[in-house]
Amino acid sequence: MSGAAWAEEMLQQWKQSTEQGIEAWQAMLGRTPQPNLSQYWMPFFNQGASLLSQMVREGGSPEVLQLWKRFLDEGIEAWSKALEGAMASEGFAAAFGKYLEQYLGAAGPVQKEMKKAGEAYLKALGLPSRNQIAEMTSQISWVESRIEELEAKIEGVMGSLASLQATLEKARREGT
Amino acid sequence: MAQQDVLKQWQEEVVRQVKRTEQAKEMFLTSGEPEVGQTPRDLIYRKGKARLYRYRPTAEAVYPVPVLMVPNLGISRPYIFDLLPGSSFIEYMVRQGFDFYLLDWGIFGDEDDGLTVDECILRILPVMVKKLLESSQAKEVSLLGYCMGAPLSACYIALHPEAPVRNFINMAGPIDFEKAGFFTTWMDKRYFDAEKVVDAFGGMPADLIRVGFKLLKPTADLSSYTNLWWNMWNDRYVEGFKALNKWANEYMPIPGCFFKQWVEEFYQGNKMVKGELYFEGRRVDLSNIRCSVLVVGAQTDYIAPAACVRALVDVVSSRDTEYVELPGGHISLIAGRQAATVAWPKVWGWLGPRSQ
Repeated sequence: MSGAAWAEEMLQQWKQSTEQGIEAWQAMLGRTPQPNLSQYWMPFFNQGASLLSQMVREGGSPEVLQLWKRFLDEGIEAWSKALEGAMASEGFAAAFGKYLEQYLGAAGPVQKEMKKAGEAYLKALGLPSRNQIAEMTSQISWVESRIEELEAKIEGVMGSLASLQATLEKARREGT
Repeated sequence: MAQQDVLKQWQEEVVRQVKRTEQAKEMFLTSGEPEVGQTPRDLIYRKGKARLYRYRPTAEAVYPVPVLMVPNLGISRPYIFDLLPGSSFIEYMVRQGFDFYLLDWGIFGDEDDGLTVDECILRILPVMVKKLLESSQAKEVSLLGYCMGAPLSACYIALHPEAPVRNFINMAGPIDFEKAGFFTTWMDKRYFDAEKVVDAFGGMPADLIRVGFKLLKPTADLSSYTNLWWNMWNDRYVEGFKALNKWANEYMPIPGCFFKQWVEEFYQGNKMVKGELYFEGRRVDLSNIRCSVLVVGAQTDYIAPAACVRALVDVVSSRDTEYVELPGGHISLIAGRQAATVAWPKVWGWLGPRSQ
């Protein structure tokens, strides 16, 4: 088969695969749990791999590889555009918000319980808890800030003293 | 094509394929971490988790006005600006003769959940600018805000009209949050409650940030791995990929109070550009910005779309403003081949004459 015929065949396969993929994605959108996107990506790889092996068997030119890569890139871009349209919708935002709320409802209390249990365990061992360390770090930060404020004030006072001293020097020189 | 040429091409392709396999084995079987952030620097000052670094000059002549780079807070690490020797924005700027400083906000933990946007703008940024001026002995400074660092810098300049800021560059920083694309839709107050996230986790966890950013471009990983396979015979490409991939998968949490304010006041309220944003009773009026301003947007930026970045030039009072929209996405401005050939020279070309 000539290089041009290979290219034409690949283009057709690519178009078909892209259309099927987009249809599948659109059909799945909005379902929970969210679909595993990799199941849509795999056909591209599989298609490429089978074309490649067929090409090697039949002695085609490697230039066709470049073409396949271009089709692949364009396929991914077409996917990206299709997903973009769907994900920019209010429907997606609402579905995502709902999913997040459910996740927070489930994960939040678990997280809090785990923290509580961890703290009780550390307390039993006589070790400081994460909260206590966090509190201590906050206090250190507060002390740091106070020191910075004091530094700034001292700098201000030193500046005033220097200017006062300069004024006095000047007055002394002028004999007033 | 002559049979001989076809054969030669196949031979080259076979060699590439062998190299790809070797690289793939090395990549997936060894755990070698790329060495990022190699440009020599010194720690100038620290406040809480924030650090001010100064990069050692390499150029013979140094511009008298130093540059302070203000990146995003949380989300990702700032070594993206100094990825690898030869592919580093900071290294590039230092070589052009800039006295370059970086504000690293730090890696946050539970103890930082009380950090507010007010604290960053009214205390951390002012003290960093002060320490920079002391260390550089300069009278003025240029601020270069990237991503979230740009609106934070804009608030700082607007609230401190007396600050000696000569130039301000906004690189991919959102300003008009109504035009912030996906994030504006997803974080609409009807669907997203920042308070609930903060209540559940204390802050915005890195894993949830990862979900948000991966959703922005679900095909990004596929695309980058396809390109990796294609270029795997090329050592330089693989080295760059490893470094960028490390960065792209290393998400950082955002402190709770900061996150809540960021979502509610910037995204949901769009208060900064409307002039309704207050910090400790002080109103942020972006028209107080009078220094020279360069705004750099990216044509396919999903994080901060060009329209929302561009808004800055319309609200400042500066006489010297320029907006430029470059090809590529959010990261293409700061890392990668396109950044090195298009975005970085643009920044240098604009900032150099204004730093004399």
